[in-house]
Amino acid sequence: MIRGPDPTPRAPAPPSETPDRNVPGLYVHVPFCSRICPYCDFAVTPLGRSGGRRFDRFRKALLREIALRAAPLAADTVYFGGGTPSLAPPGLLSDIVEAAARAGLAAPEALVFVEANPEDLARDPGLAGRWVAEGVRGVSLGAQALEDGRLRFLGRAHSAADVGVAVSRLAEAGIPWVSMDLIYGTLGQRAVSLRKELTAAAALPGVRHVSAYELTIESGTPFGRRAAAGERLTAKPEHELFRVVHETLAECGFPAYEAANFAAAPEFRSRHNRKYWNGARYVGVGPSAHSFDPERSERSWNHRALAEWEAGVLERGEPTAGSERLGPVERALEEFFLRLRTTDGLDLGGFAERYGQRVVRSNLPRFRDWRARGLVRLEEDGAGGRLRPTLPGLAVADALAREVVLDALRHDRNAA
Amino acid sequence: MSRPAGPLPVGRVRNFCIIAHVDHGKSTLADRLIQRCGGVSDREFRDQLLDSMDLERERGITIKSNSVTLLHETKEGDTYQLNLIDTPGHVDFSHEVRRSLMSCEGALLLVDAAQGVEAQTVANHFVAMEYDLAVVPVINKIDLPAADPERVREEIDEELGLDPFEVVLASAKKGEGIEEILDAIVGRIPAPGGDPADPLRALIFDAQYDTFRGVVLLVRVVDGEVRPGDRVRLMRGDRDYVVEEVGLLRLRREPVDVLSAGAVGYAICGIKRIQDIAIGDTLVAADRPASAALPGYREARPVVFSSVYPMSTDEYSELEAALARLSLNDPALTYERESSTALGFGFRCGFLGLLHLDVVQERLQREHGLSLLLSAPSVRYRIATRDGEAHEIENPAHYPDPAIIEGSEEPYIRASVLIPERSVGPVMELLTERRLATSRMHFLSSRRVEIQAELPLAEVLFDFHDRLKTVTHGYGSYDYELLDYRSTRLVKVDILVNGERVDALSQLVHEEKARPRALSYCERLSEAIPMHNFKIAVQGAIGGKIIARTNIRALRKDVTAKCYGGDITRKRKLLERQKEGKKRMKQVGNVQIPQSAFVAVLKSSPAA
Repeated sequence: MIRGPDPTPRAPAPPSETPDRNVPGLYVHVPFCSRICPYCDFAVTPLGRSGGRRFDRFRKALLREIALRAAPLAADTVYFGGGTPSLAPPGLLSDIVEAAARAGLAAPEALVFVEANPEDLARDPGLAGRWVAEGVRGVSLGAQALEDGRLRFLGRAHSAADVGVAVSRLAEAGIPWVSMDLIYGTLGQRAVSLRKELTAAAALPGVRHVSAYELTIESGTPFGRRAAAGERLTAKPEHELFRVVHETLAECGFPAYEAANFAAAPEFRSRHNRKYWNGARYVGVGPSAHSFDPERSERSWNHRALAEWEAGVLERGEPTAGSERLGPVERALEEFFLRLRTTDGLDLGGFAERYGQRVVRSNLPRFRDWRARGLVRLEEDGAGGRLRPTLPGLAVADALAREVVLDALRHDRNAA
Repeated sequence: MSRPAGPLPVGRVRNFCIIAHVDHGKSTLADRLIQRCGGVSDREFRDQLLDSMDLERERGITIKSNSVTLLHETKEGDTYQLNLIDTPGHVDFSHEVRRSLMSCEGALLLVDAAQGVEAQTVANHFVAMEYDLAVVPVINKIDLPAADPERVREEIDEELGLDPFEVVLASAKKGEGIEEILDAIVGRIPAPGGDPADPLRALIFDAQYDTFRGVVLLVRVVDGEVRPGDRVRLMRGDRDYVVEEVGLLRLRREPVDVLSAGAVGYAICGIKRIQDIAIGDTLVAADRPASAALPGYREARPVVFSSVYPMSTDEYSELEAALARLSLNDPALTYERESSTALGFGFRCGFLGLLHLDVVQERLQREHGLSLLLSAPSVRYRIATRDGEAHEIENPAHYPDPAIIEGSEEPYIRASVLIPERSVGPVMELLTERRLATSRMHFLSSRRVEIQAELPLAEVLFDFHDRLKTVTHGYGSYDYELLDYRSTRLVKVDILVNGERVDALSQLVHEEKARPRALSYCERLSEAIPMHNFKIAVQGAIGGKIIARTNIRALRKDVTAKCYGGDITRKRKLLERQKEGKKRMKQVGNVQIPQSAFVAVLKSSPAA
């Protein structure tokens, strides 16, 4: 155990508005699920009957990978994602965090976040308390919907009532940061019912953060196959629902800070996810996990299949499946599209510093055109300034990233 | 096996061709005749040998005519030299058909035992009668389950006025009736006339280009004779040539000492460029030139035009080289450079008709591996301006300011449409919709009607064939000949995208058709241009007047649903691919138009 529960249950994690780019985050991928949701395309595997043995081997491999990894700085966040980390046997989370601390991958006081399924918390009244004891400070609850019909459509194992139970147990246990994951845009969903669901989610006690994702049909999933066979699974028009989500959550006191993320106050914004969006360093362990080293401009990723990753780690001491070195154009494009998904937007001065003045200057007419169309707010300030998407701009952030021209960087050796 | 083709008396020579509607089995019959007469060894034999180009074989259409000399031994033991002159089988090449017919004394008129007499059968038969040819009617494909030789025999009697008792029944595919056909050629087609002592007159009915020998003239000697060493000249040319070689058109060229009056063969005279000769011209002796040319020459004038652009701008020079190569063997194909703001550099090409266009397009794509964008086919208009000048315009880009136009004319055709009697109503409706000028109808038999219709050529260029087939449930066919130019009310329709003209989509159309055509373009374009993050107006306009409009809604949602977890690489790579795709799009004003949008708008239904 790294750290006991916070003595004041509702006390938020200390705010840190501009996370240091060099302080990394540690991501731990737990690939097991009791059942696989039909829309999910993450690296997941059904836990099955021999779950205990599988978790043993997984723990062994994780500890081994942590020992293999080196980082110049310890992470200040540890995020257990999945899969379903709430299936982890008692002690696994704290063992991993402790091992990471010993290896210098995570700071002893790092904030620990866990993704959880409501049914696990509803079934086990002691689970939330155990997590607190294991040092967990934040829980991202995979509610996805608050209507039983939609939950069945999404193939979830829990009911809307389970979500309520789970949330109150987290609150009772004193988990300071609770986020609600929601999926909208399922077939037949209307603005009116969506608004009702969002309002209910925002009103749940202790919920400080909402991630609302539009249902995306991924190929290779059961939904992907059904859609390919001609079945309609999503609601139309999607732009309408996007607007409803943003407006309703803002009205409920959860303004957006990212295209799909909403926080009750700046200090409740996701501390871990923002590292991905800020170009910060992160280390990922477990199958399919990605790592990024901003100094070397290198991104690497682990084997996706559990067996391959385990074999790689345990037999060859090598979890990595591949890596890439990002050139200035790639770096700039990533920064641009990630920042344009955030309400803070892009700091043009910093961008120019990193990639050269020319790329900002040459795009200024484009930015002004976007401003004229109400897609961005553009604060021009000599060489600096800031480009912030408006709500309509946030809704078309990908289109803006396709329009920006970064080709000048290809020939600019001094950039980055 | 080839036997010696020594000089046979002119009485043992027969010159004939096969005339038929597309797909009635002409090439297959030619193959059987060649096989039966040993004109070709088994090893050399390929199916449909006369159609030397892959493309022709695949479509079952002979585009460039070829000819072959067959040696046939009758039951009595006499050897005859049968010169088969191949004819192209489509309306676009009607003049080439005429030229082939002029070189013959007789024709096999081939009719499909299931399809019966069709529009081209009738048209070809009329031409054969015009040239006073002996016609041997052959009903082919009698082996087909749907064959109805007795009905077809009746049609030949009633619709063509030929003696039903002279009909030969055959199945070229199965080799049935071939002996009877050969007997009929010998027995019913007269030997050629002409006097070897007269001054040389030979009709150039075709030409080929040989990389090593230059131009190879295919000739029918009408009078006199020609042998190697003779000095000759072309009636329409201005220089003399020395004959290097003459010979027979066996499967390979087979040199002989002399080609005399009545003979069909080839002559190589050291002519370097195909542009230096004209098909249909008369070859005469330089020292004793005949006074009158043979009829047969008519300039191959393109009547259908289309702009051809490479899909990828860096293929422009390859396209130019490919067009140059094609036009070597195809003098009817014309091309001139043009450029479009939206599509870059390309060529405005002229064709004999839609099929010709289609064939050239496919050859460019298949033989030269080019991927192309073609504008909707159009015709050549005559425009008189107020300053008294006359202009011929086939390119909308050259259309003068309407304010200075005195009047316009467009080409008309006489279409012969052969249909079942019960389809008269819908076909007349179709023709009326196509700006029918006049029509005459006559019953060919109790069930079949021929409509002779005069209408603008432009009206058959746009999915006419398909519509005719639809309204006649597949039983209608048509053929046409160019008639004359007639006064028309022409307008230039521009397509605007957010107020910017897309030059490649401008077109000249009849006033009446402007609005529907503009709307159809706008609709197809709006479907094919992806949404932008602003609204796009797609308009059709005549000058400053908007006549059609569609809108493309602004994009309101285009953002990846979730972007968390460290796999940013995947999302970036998707964006990179999409950015690349955008770069390949054509920029018109602030709108990006994918190539596929031009393809969707410009493609017209293919010919025949």
